Order: sequence, then C-alpha cells, then structure tokens
Amino acid sequence: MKAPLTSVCLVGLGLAMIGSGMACRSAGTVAPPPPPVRTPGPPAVLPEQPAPGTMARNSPPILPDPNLTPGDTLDVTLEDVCTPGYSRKVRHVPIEVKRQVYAEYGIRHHRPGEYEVDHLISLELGGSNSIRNLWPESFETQPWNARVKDALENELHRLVCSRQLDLRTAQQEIATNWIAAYKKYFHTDRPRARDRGRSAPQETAETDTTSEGAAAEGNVQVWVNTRSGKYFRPGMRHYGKTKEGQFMSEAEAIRQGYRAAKGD
Amino acid sequence: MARNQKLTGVIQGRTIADMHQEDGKLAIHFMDGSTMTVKIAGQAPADGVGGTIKAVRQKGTTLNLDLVDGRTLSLQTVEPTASVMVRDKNHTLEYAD
Repeated sequence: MKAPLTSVCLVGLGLAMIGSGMACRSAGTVAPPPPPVRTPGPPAVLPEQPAPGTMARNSPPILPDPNLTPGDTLDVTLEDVCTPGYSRKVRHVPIEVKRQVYAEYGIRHHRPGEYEVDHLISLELGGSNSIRNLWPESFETQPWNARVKDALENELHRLVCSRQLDLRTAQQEIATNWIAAYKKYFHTDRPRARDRGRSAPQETAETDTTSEGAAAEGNVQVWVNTRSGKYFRPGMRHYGKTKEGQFMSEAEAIRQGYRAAKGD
Repeated sequence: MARNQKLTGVIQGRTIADMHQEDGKLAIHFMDGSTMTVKIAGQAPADGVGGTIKAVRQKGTTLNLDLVDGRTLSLQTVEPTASVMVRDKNHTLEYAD
C-alpha cells in the first residue's frame, strides 16, 4: 500500500519558524506556497552550540542553519525511495541553486573537494532539491564531515527499507540533528574510523568553485555523466568533460545508480 | 534556456490529454496514463491539450514545455527546484525534482 508523504517542515519548528518566518509547508495546501526566498542568516555558523569535541574548525558548519535549511521532502512513498535506482530519477541540483546555497552561507570561495552541496534529508530518504533542503557540507571538518553523514544516510536508508525504521522518523531525525542521529543509530559518540575519511582532499592548483566531492582515500571524486548514467574516474578521457554531468564522490555515484565507465 | 534532458527523456512524445489545476498544483495527464504534477505560481496556460511534448527547457522558475506543433507551454514554478514530478499509469515514479 502506498502512503503518500507530505512535504513537511521538519526541523526544530520553533527555531526555524521564529528565525525565518517561513511557513511550514504541507502537500495540498490551499494557498500557493511562499516564494523560495530564504531569510539571510549568519554566514557559515552553527545553528546551535555543538557538543564538546564535535568541531575542530570554527568556520565550516557541521550542522546546517535551521533558518536557511530546515529540510524539505518530496511527495514520495516508502516504495519509491526503496526502489533501486530511485535517486537517478531525481533531477540534479542546478548549479545556480548550488551557488545560491554557498552565497547564503557566506562561502564565496572554496577549493575543489572542500565542500559539497548536501541534501540535509538525503535523496534516498525522500529529501527534495529545494534550497530549504540544501547546505554546504564540509569534507574537511573533523570528526564530523560529509563522509560521516553519508554513512548515516546509508544506514538510515537500510533501516527504512528493511522496515526497521519509519521513513518520516528517519527524515525528522536526520533533519533535526544529523550528528545526534549518527550517535543514536551507530551507538557511538564519535564517528567510526571508516566513516571519517581523510581529513583533507588532494590539493589542486586550480580553484573551481563549482566542483564537488573529494579525491580522498577510498572516496575518489568522480565525474558522472548524468545523461548516460556512467561515471569516470580521474585520468579518464571524459573526466569532467561530458556536456552534462557533475562531480561527486564515487560512493555517492554508486549509491545513485551510476555505473563505472570501462576503458576510456 | 537550457534543455532539461532528464525530464525531456521521460515525457518526450507524450500527448497531453488533460490539464487540471488545483491548490497551486497543475496536473498534466498524458494519453498514456502518466501524470506530471507541477507546483506552479499563478495560472497555468489552458491551451496545451492535444499537444505532444517535444522538449522541456528550464531556467530558474520558468519551465517551458515545447510541443511538436511549435507551441510552447510556459509555466512558472514556485521555486527553481522541487516542483515537478512524473508518475506513470501505474503510479511508479519516473521523475522528481
């Protein structure tokens, strides 16, 4: 049986609503939704005090600003998100929207592999491409970073699709505080070593403010051809060169259903 | 305005059977039983019935459905993303944004 989920305002209702004045959205509302203009928030700051030891750097956020990124979901069902290849049916976030995300968080320049524009509620948990669900997530903060959240996303998806966890609960928990959710579901106060990845991406001479992902150990930054469904590793002829595509970690590419290109 | 290749690949060749707007959502029903829902701002164009989709172009909150007969249905979405969804006649998700 398919139970449609409504788009809901998921994060810290008090914080988000008071801070931004945004209306909590729901499917089937009579009035047209408000325009997607976000109230500018303080740049690259934490929405709340992190637990001691959760942040090694001061500037990159390890939790999104709930005023800017309360979380948003698509009207999808459990069956939808648990169907293999689901994420590939979702459009990629346009580069203009990614730039807006960086701008609203006060990030004007960044190195390749330093950040990704992350879906707070991940695509595989029914998160949407709305700017209300996007934030710049660092690969470099320690111990909490984008790779650690990826591990949580995979675990929550596994629990949801094995009917051990309600989809809406998973959405709410990851949107409210993904670090707290990680601790809860992995029964640990610190990220597992295998989830943390390397602390810094490979240095490159060029500054590309649009590329994403990290060429880090065990999590190579690949180029996905969003039309063919194949991805290319660094050094391959079509790496970064197809007409349509984007950078992402290899793990993310595989999770979204892309296939490794052969030869080349 | 850039073509939305993913959405074009999904609905290209489909013919619009009916369009229905309610509660800020436009439902475009195709002859093959599939439905595209678009969260729109304002009124939807009413002259799309019978048209066959040739391509989809999108920039910002403007979503243009180019029809084979040369017409273009121009829709204003509520935001640049998270506004379009397509399901086939069996309600299986084909596209989401």
